[in-house]
Amino acid sequence: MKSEELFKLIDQIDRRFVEEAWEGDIDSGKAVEIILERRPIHAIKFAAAVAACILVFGAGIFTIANVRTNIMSQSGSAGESISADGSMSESSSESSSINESVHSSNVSGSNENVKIGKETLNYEFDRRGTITSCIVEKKDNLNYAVIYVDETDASEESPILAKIYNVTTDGDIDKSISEKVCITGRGIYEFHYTTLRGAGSRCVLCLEREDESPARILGTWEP
Amino acid sequence: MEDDEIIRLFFERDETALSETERKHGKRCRIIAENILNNREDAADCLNDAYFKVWNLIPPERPEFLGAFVSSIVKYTAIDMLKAKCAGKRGGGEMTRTIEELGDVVSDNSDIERTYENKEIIEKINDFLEGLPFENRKMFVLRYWYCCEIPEIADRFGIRKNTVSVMLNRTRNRLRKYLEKEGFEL
Repeated sequence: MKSEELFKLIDQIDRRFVEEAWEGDIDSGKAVEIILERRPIHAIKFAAAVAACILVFGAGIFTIANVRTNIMSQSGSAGESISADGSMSESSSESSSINESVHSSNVSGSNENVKIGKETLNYEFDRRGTITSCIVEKKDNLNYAVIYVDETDASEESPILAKIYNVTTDGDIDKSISEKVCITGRGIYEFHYTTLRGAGSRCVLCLEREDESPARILGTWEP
Repeated sequence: MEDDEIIRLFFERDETALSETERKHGKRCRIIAENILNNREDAADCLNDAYFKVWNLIPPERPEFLGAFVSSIVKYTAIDMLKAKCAGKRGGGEMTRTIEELGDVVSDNSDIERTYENKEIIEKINDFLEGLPFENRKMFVLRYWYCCEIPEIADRFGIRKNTVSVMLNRTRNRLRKYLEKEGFEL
């Protein structure tokens, strides 16, 4: 097939898409840029990890240098070499706090709030576990949401699944078109989701364990 | 004015239907015509011809999406004008560039149009578009249906031109893979 023919075929696509492409407003250029170039989120994480490694490594070298200076300046003993190990572990915890501060700068959530789009809902979080602080930022018209997870007991071993379902006008939840995101700890999670077309349909965000129970609805919004 | 109201005016043979159509959908029609014809005066003639066709088509037609319907008429009119003007030669406008880009998806020697029904392929393209994230779909349709220029799309999205090109390139590759997966030999 020649490209002209493909052009002619594209010309006959569903008029719904044609109308949508022109009429569907973009929320904000910045938001779109985040989506289009979502790698920076990974890049930030990667850069933070690299920075943390450099700091750990640097702190380690600095500590070793200090220890060596101490050893050089003082008479050496077995006890002092043990204390050198101690300072190493201390520098390691220091780097961990640096890493955390880098991380928390990305987490803009305030406790006890779930923010959906422009609306902020006060939500009584379940203290039995799951996510105790999280912000959901829904990008208008983009079928794209970002969840900032601050405090959670989710881990690699016991992840929490975040899913966005569609609710039909009849109130039924359509689970077939949800995209799930696996939450394994603090951080920023992003996902796209499909919305039902037609007036009156809504979206719900559910958090649940891998065995699909219990489903916890944090909030709803109009797509 | 809402589209339903404009269509009602067409059915009542009220000529304000045309001015309302121009007011509401004129901008996109002008962009399509200018991008294809690469000439403002020709684009203005094209729009006049196209609105006349719309006047004759509604009624009996009652389009579900008036904007898409009028845009479509403008596009066909512009392509016809371009063919007449260039007598077989390519026009050098945005349409030529979009066609060239679509060469990434298909090869020039494939027999797909003889092997498969057009309807079948269009259905698959619709399915593919349906599955795309909103912003990718919008970008794809703006480029390959509306023949919008890359800088214009970049402006609409508030992003860099290079990002648009990269996104379109990825979407074309995804379309090619999708069609191949669906069994079409490209």
